[in-house]
Amino acid sequence: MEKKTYSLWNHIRYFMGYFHKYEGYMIYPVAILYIVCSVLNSFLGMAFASAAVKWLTLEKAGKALTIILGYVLLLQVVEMGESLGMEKIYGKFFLYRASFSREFAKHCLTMDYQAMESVEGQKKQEAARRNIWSGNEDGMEPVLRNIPILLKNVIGLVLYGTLVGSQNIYLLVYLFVTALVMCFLTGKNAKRHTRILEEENKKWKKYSYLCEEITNVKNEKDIHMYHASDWFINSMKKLQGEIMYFVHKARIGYFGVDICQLLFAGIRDGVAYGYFILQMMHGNITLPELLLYLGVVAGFSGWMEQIFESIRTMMENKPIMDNYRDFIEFGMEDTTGKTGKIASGSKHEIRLEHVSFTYPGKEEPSIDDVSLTISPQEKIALVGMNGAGKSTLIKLICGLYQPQKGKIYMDGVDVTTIPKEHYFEEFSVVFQEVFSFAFSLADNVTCQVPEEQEKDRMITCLKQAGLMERVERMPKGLETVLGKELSRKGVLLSGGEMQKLMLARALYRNAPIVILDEPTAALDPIAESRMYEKYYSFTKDKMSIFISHRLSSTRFCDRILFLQDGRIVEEGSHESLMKQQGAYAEMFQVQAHYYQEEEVLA
Amino acid sequence: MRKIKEKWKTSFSYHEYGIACLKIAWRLDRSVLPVGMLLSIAGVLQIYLGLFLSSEIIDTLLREQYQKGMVLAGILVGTNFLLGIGRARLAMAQKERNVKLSLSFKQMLREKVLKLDYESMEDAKKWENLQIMNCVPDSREICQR
Repeated sequence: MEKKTYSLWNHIRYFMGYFHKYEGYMIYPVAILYIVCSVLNSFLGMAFASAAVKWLTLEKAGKALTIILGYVLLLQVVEMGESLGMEKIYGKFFLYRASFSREFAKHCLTMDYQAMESVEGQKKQEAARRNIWSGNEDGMEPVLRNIPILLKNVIGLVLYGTLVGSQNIYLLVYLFVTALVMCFLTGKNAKRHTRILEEENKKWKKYSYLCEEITNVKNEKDIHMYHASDWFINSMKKLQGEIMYFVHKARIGYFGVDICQLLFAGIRDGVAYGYFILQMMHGNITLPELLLYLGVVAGFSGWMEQIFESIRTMMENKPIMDNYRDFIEFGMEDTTGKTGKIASGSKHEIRLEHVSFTYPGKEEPSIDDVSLTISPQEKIALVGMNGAGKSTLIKLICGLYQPQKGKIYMDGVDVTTIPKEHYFEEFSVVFQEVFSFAFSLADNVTCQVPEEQEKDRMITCLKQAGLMERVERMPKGLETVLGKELSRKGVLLSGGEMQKLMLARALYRNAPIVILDEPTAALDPIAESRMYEKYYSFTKDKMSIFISHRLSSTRFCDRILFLQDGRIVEEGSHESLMKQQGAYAEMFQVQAHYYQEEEVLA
Repeated sequence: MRKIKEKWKTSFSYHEYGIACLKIAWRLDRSVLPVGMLLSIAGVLQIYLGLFLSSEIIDTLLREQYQKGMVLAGILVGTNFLLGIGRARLAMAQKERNVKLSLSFKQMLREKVLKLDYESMEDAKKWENLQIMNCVPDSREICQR
């Protein structure tokens, strides 16, 4: 899918929507007050200075003094209005960024898993993340900040332009033509910057990865043992050089634009001075008028420069905003036509009809024409060599992946028509990668906010999972924070304890379908066998699908499916498969022989 | 009195941090501070020369020496142009150096991490510091300025 880009105007409209949403109609009078006061602030200085010079040249110091005093008073009022408007408008930009951050997090949590997991999704997320986490000077905040600035400058430009035009229309035409040329150049340069940024982002991604990996304590054992420090530092240095190359390349473009802007400004000022001095020489204008008009031309230049600066800042940040909005609109679940209904929490039948799935960029399918029916309360085991397609099949059944060919049905309803959040509720899944969040143990088990947690149910589940004893020994019991990421007093769980935690989470979910994707891979055979006994007892009246490398662990299943190259090549109970003397039996015997040898050695 | 003392203490500690940061910046890249100072000087110089030449032009025009006024106006425009180019070049150099400095700072911290022995890395306090280290804002922030 191609990256979406938006015009600057589109971004401005997008942000105006935010302004309106959070501030209501009151933002408009405040913005008008700020803009009027800002323009007046600039004009008053020139007008009063010109008037003061007029009275001074006429040697009427008293009048000049009155004018200066009047100016000071009026300036205070105008500056107060400007500050008030500024505080009301700018003071909240941080909060807007926080709300964007919330939107980003929500999208990450709710977007389609397959899209999120894809290389494209990962790239988009990484690019969008910069918009949120890169501070006040990067991404949306400068764009937001520059919207009122741009409005103010445009109004100032129109006012000053009228004054310049009243004196010499050609001068005004020149000013506008240079403005247009500069706009064109700025736009061209922004496009060039976007292209550079694309390349630069790739380097940043690698660089961030290296930075994080170096400080990851989990890697330190290997880094120390293999003396990988030099390799890491050299890689960082190399990437730094590459990043600096792109930074320099981008900056050269902006320097070029600056030179053009200075050149046009020089010509404009030269012409203005020449014209107005000639006018004075011919007696058409007085010195105070000359000062006023020169001030207006300079002011006009100032407004234009600020407009360019605003546009430039916005254009610089446009690619980052593009990335953000591209990600926010990427991988959204299409809810149209999702009218399929299933009885929530009841027993289900799952049927796969000629399902095939190929990972993006791969030619060989990971799941190839699989047809399968799993009845309610049936216990299924998926076994096979590494890369046979077991985990992919699980992800398809769970609804995390969508098959490219074939259909999956739950109780006869096509799962693509069932809203994802309803479908997911029917599964308790324990995946291969066991991990805890750096929140409280209670949060980890329930995955709910404290107000919704059922404490008694949680304790029952922890007891059933065999973790309650350990929890009772923890300093804060159920409220103990797991991991050290957010709390120095956080508790680290061992591999076995983590498995139990995952089991407790699955039990708490109490869904009618239980899926266990090699959750015991890190355990020794005896601990694994005990864990499976527990799983078996808790899933008696539920449909359950087990994946395990150790074939002995899944002997209790009603049906064992042996997968090879994405296809089910053998199917049946343990006994029937052993009788077949096929691939399953061979694998089982090899494993049995290995464990017997281990036993003898022990 | 105690409040004033505390305020002084806080203010002093801010300056202490500031000076420590400047020292690090100086150690990592000796050109960052001079470039920043040159940029500031160029900015002030442009303002000062602008004011000086403008007042000269007004005086000249009051004396009705229009040709001299024209010459002075030319000098003003030329000075603004040249100083503007100088400032733009310095600003470019400063922005690049800021990014480089930020990258060098990150590298310096990580070189330190890699020199730590494994045992002290497992220490809870160190662990926390390492997590914080990854929260240091991206250099992109400076790059975009």
